[in-house]
Amino acid sequence: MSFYAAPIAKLIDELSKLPGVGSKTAQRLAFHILNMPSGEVEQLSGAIISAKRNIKHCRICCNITDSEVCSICGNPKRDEGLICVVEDPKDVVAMERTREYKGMYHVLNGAISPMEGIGPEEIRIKELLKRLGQQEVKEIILATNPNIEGEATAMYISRLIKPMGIKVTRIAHGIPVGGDLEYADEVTLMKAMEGRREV
Amino acid sequence: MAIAKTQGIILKYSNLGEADKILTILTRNNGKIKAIAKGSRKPKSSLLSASEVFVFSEFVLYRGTNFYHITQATVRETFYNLRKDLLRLSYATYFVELADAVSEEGIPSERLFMLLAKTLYYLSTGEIPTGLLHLAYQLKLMEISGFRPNLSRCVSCRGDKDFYPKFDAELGGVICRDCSETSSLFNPNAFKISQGTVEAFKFLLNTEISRVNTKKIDNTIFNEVDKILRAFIRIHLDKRFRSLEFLDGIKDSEL
Repeated sequence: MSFYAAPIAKLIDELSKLPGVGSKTAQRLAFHILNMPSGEVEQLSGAIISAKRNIKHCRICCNITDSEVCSICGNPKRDEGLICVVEDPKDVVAMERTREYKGMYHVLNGAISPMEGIGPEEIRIKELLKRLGQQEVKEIILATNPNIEGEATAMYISRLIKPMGIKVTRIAHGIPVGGDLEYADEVTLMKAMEGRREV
Repeated sequence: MAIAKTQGIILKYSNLGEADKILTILTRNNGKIKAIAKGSRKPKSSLLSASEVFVFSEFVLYRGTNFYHITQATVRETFYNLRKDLLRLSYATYFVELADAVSEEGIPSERLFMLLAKTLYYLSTGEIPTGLLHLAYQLKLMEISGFRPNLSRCVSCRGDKDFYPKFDAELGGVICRDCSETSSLFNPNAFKISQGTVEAFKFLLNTEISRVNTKKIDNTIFNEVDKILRAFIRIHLDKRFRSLEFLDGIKDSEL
């Protein structure tokens, strides 16, 4: 039984569906919204609806965008011969923050996971293969996460693409900058040794 | 605050908050437990690799009110090769899902732990063909869980015969000709079984997992064992295994 008036009970209920928001936080947020000026509340609800309505997947790289082709795919200055394959749109942002990479991306929107029952058909691998048939690509950089799902996805894609004669590389795994060897775990250290290079 | 030191294999995990994980661990001495690995999702965490699925580690834990908490973990074996091949990864996922299904929290079973550890080891090294390992593991796991198939007496009339034409997956064993002709005529859980398959079952049950590749099992028998085992597990564990469905899908589309 709810002790609140129906509209606010409904708001609390909806807010508590968000990840990491329990009923107490939902209550606090709901009361904050009630105390906000009407204009701001309208802006907030407008922003939610517009994001949901206008966001779609880029025709080329499957990243989320508000136009047919995303700003990276539409930028003529970027190197079309280089495709960095990532799991998630957030990974594109992380890569872009480095300001080092000038190639294109391909967003899989997930990773193969036998535990969750997500197969190769359910992520955007087909779109990647189609792209390879349409444009001249020199190198594919597999930048999926270095966990089990990410590794399996990277291996699967490399097995598909290698026979096409395209160079396939995997991002390096190793000690984080500012890290401490003593506290690095064994697998990371092993991978760091494997991927060492001449200075 | 009880402190425990034990070896364990991670069966599954779920994320907790910003940077923590709740791990389900099959331990050698304490049975299956749920443990919180604090900060294990941070890139610089020392628990990072020990909190991944399949990894075999030595843990130092203390027991909280609801969960164990991991204070230290030393990785013993990561079975890294499992990640390099989707088919093997799918088998490994099914193996841990099965182990999770048959184990009870807090009830120690060293045999189950050793079976899983050895099976993952042979799966990652590739010394034993995956298909064979799959059958042997399932059969041994069912035996450990108290479902050893009866292969020496008719499970219906208890008669000791020379030949048993069928296997009743529900009753959990072979049935003689008389019983199969009467009671199990329309039984969907009764499967045709050849003498070779009975022998294969006995061999897989009685042979140490490291030696199951010492005898050749031909394809027809292999398929019969697989079919019977599937039904046997489906009926007795009464659970849908998502990883098995995934595995079947992968096998069909294997490159």
